[in-house]
Amino acid sequence: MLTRRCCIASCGLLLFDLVGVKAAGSRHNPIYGCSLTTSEANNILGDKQGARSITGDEPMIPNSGDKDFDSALAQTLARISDCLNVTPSFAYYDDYDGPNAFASKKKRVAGTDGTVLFGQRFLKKLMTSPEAPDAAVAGVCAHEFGHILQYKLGLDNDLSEGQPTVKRVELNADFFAGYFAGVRKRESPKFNAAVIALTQFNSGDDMLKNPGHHGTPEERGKAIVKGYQTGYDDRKPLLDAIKIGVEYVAANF
Amino acid sequence: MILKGSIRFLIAAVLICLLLATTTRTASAQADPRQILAAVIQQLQTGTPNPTWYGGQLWQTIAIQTNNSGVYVQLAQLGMVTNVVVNGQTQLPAGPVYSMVAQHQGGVSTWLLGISLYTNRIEYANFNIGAVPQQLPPPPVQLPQTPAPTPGSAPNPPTNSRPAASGTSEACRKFPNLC
Repeated sequence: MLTRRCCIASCGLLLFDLVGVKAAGSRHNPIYGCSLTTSEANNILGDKQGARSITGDEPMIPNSGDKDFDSALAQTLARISDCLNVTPSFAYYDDYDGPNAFASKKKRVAGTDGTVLFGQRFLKKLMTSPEAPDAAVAGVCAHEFGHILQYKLGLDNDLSEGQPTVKRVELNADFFAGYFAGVRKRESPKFNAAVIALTQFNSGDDMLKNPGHHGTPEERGKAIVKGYQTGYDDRKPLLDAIKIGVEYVAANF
Repeated sequence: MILKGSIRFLIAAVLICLLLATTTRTASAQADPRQILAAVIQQLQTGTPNPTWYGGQLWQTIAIQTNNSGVYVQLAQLGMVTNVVVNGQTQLPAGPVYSMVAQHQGGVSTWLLGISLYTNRIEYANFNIGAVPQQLPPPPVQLPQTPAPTPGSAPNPPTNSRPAASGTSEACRKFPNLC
């Protein structure tokens, strides 16, 4: 197909004026599953599907097949990228064995901060949500970009040190998603920030001792709200928000 | 003496302005889209795409599709561009999309180029080898409760999407402070 046609849809992810944050280049490449757990996916989507082992090397699919949607999402990704000061590569992938989205430290495209892959099935499912599906997708993307920010700063290692689960890391990513929602709400009062909180709330799980435990529904909802307040009510800049987000999860979980 | 100094300053200022105009040139929506397309084609024929011209997603797509070479072989085989014609233009929330036909030494390529008003970069591109002009996308339909352009909003949400009024939705009931 490429011999006859080149079809490209896009977003403005390249940000050159990055704040002085240092990539944790020497660390290994964890694949956090937002990486939703199977339980999370089931909670959100109501499906009973198995999860596969995510490698981070899944083939990247540049387009969703809907140019208009890709264009709108591109704008959103550019805003998340700008808000959280990260530049990951973003693509879809075939989540044939269970709806999922995840962030990886792997730099599949040179010059980026990592990779976010959004499952085609997960996207399709979210877009059938009854309320503001676009905001739900934005929230998941912001959460994943939050992981990229953690990788970039090495927060993931600090937060998970000595922890039996990934909960702190996940709730910190939720905080960043809430922060983005708050910043967006300031810019656009009609932005449906509550749907982002509800989406993450619905993604909570009760597998408290499971290493993949991401937080209970209440904890995830609260993390979003805390991030939202930091961005919307307190109008904190990103560097302050990063500090607040780390302190919040360290003190409460 | 003062006059000489002033002239020197003026010349220096003009040179600096020209230099800046050259080095900071991007795919401005206000520039002639024909010139932009001619340059884009030249870049994609020679593997020298200018990173400041393209949106991030487009940039990485080019990288993926060209295996990091930046060269579209089929485009290179058409040869140098001899003329570009703008067939149409449509204004989308994010910026203008141009439909253009490029005449090459060895054939014709038809293009859609979208330039973002937000980033001032080329964020959308689509080309075919052939003479049939590409159809421009229709202007987006204004949705009652989804003001455009709102990053984060899908222009064509599924039919079962029911934007709920603030304060009455499940999300707003559960998280009233976020509504």
